[in-house]
Amino acid sequence: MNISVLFNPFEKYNEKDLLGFGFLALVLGSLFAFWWNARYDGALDLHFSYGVKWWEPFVDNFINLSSISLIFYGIGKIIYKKTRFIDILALSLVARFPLYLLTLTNINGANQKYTETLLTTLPDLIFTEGLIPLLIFSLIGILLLLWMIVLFYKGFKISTNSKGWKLNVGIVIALILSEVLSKIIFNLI
Amino acid sequence: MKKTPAICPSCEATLKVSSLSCTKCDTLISGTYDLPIIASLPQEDQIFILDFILSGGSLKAMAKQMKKSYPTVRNRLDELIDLLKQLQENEH
Repeated sequence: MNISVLFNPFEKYNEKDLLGFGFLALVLGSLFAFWWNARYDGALDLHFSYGVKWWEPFVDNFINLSSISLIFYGIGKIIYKKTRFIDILALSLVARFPLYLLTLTNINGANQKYTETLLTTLPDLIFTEGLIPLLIFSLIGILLLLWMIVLFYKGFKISTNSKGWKLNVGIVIALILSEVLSKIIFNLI
Repeated sequence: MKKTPAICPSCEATLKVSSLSCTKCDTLISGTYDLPIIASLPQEDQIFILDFILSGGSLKAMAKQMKKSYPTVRNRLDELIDLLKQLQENEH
């Protein structure tokens, strides 16, 4: 498999393959969040928590998926009138895959445990046994978030046939508005 | 297959046809004729247009044939349409 597919599956794979993979990832991501106590409480967010109920990550992902799909579709239509909803839906499903992988850093509550241990040392921030693993988790988190942004960028570029300033401005506005819309919905429920 | 040159390798201006010959009786016709617009496209674009027509104008069939996604093929077609429009404008 060509490694570029990991960063741009939208060029090669048709919408059925992308939707199939995306829905599978969404189900697995929701189960991971249930098993390892994570909440996707925003279109681009992941926070670790306690006592997460099995249905909560599914509801989170439904809200996030709806917010991203609607906003990206609306902006996509403004940029390029031939933008198809099915491509945007596939993009919304696939691009959040790296975020689901981030939950793996909290197997057995590892991420949360080290974070809390570190917080107890504040404001002195002395060296604790959890500092190195936490730095590794942070690095993994940054890389996965970058991967997610690249997927959003590439998917939006192909779905909306945009380039240059329209692409750059469009993707930034779409990401910000998706996050805002999802946060509003989370605050309402 | 030898490709028809469309751009002058020396000054990069658009080339024209200056002679045509009959392969049967060797009759030679001289003059200045424009190349068809499609002939001035790169060869890979000409092949794309040919495949598109042969697939009955179906982007889905083209996507399957090229092993690319539908929007990727649609974007390529849009780029070609823009390029053809530009060439048409230049000709007029």
